[in-house]
Amino acid sequence: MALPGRMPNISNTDELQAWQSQRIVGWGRLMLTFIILAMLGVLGRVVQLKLQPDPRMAAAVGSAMSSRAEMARRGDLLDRRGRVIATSTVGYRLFVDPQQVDDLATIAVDIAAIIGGDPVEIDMKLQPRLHSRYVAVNQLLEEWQVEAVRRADLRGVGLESRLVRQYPFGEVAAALVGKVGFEHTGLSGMEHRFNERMLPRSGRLTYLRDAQRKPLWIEPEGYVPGQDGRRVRLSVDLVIQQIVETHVRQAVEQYNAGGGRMVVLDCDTGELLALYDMLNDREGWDEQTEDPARSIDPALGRSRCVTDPYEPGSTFKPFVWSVATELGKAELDEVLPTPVGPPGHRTSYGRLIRDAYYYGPSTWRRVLVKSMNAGMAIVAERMSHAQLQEAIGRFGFGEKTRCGLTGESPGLVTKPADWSKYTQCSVAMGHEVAVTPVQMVRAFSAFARDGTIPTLRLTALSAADREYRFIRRAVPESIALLTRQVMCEVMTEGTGRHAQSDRYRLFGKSGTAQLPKKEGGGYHEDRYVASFIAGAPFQRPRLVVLCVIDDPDKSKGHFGGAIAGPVVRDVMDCALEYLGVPPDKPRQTEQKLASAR
Amino acid sequence: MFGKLLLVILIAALTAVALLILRQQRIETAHEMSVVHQQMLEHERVLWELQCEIARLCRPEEVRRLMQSLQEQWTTIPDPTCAEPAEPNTLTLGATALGGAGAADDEFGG
Repeated sequence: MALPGRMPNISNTDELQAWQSQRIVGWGRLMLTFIILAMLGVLGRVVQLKLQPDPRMAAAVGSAMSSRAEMARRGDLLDRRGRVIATSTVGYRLFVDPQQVDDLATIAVDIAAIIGGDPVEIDMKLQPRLHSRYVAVNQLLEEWQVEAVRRADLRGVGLESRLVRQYPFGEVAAALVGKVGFEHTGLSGMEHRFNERMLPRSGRLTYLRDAQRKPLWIEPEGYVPGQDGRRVRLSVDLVIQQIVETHVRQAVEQYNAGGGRMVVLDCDTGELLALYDMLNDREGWDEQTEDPARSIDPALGRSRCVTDPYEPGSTFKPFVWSVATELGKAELDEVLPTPVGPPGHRTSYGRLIRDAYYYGPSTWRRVLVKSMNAGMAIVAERMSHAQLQEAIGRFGFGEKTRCGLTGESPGLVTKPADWSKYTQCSVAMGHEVAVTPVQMVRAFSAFARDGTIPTLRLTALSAADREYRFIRRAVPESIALLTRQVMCEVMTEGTGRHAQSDRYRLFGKSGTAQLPKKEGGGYHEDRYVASFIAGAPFQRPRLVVLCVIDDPDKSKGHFGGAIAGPVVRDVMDCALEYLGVPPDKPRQTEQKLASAR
Repeated sequence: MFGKLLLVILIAALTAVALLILRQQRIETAHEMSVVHQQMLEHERVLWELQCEIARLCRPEEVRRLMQSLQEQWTTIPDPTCAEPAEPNTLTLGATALGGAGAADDEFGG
């Protein structure tokens, strides 16, 4: 190969041309070799930078990767019919990055001019955190404020999207539904109960960005989509809930009561269709029921339908009556020596049992219809303590229903060791025992069914989940039907007369119990708990409804049949009609109704 | 020889240009992906808002109010498959339970 160099002394033209060609080839090969080596060098450097970069370069490359959470939505809460009770939407929070702001002295005024509000308040939030990169100025902006901030495009001021929980039905069933906290997790009620199910799983977006934070590239595995939380369908029907709330509120106001509670149960399926309780703060009344959390937010209040037991009074009698009948302690038409007038009946151990009214010797059937304390005491003394304790246990009293609401109380049942003769008669009349409203409706539904008590549920039964389990058999089917028949007479001849419906045959029982003193030591003389429980329609019961009016003003009325009974009747009428249950009263009544309308 | 050298350099240059074009397209694609993603998020936000608004407007009292305001405009659609007049149905009873005016029931019945 001829290398570049001085031209040799050649006179021959051919030889000269040959030499020049060799020279060109030589130079060409040299350049080619150089280019190839340079390219190989560059390739090698690229491989080295990729596999073993300089630490300073690794840091720079690392900081060019950004990651962002992908928002996913919390699951919706639906009612039985699929109406949305709670859902999430996106709101915006306004934040400031003091390090990026042009003029810290005027930024508060600028922000206040855009979104409204007090610049001093904004400044007070900023001043202590000027070193920070994130200061939240407003937690939730309205739509017009968001647009205004976007248009203004102030340096260092940004919008951060966040989930906001919306309740389209407002305060209906607020205590039952509950509330979410700042981190969008359930704090109370169903929001708390089903939090795990409704909780979303945020996704992640990891991307390579440039110096201006614009995305350059997203790897396939850099995008993980968020997973929305699952929906929960409650057993509560918001229309029935609204019916209940309206009627209970009216009754509490009308009788100036301390509060009211109502539960509506589908006795066929065990679904709780409505739960409501309210408190009424009356000036000048001592020993009122309180719930401090409720004053902060109604959704944070406890659900007194499960947390606050009460003495059921005469509404407890059907349970004792049915078991006593089953055990043969009294025959239906057996005449008992109930007193003709005051002072009342003396028990075997000398206790005086009084009644509101006296009917003289009466049948065991009439004892329940007329709610005679004396008759119940007579038969209760025929039962052993163990038999009565077992009867109470059969109906689920003294144990939680496990319906799913937090803070549930099992009620109060005297322990066998403390059970005395006094207890025996008291419990038979519905005293010395405390029950929660949900326990009452569950137990009462034994008479609306075939003697079995259902599992209570707060979630709707799905089509695939139609086989519910009953907890236990409380009484034989024949006894349940018999008790139901006698309770029908309560509505026509007994204390339930005020609660008779024109459309449906109700069966039920009233109760009026004295209010126990908070500090112990007996009962208030003139303060009561008025309650009424009923099921309907008679042939194929669909609903059980309980109403408890706490501490009504005695000057306006206090008997359960008179105060709580009409509320139960009205709610039962509306609810059954809404559910499409045909009336089971005689047709003449239908025509009268049609003409009246 | 010179021609071959020139050819090699030309091919290398073309390869480099092609790689640059691909890189630019990749960057533009990433940018479009990002823009579309932002649009998706915005659509999702609007959708959630609409769902919430629909839930509010479908509350029973809102439906009741609408039905009452449209009372005169409601006409029943006769069922062509029915040979006999229908019995008062649950819709009638349901309307009553929702608190609709009594007169509205006649328009739903039969």
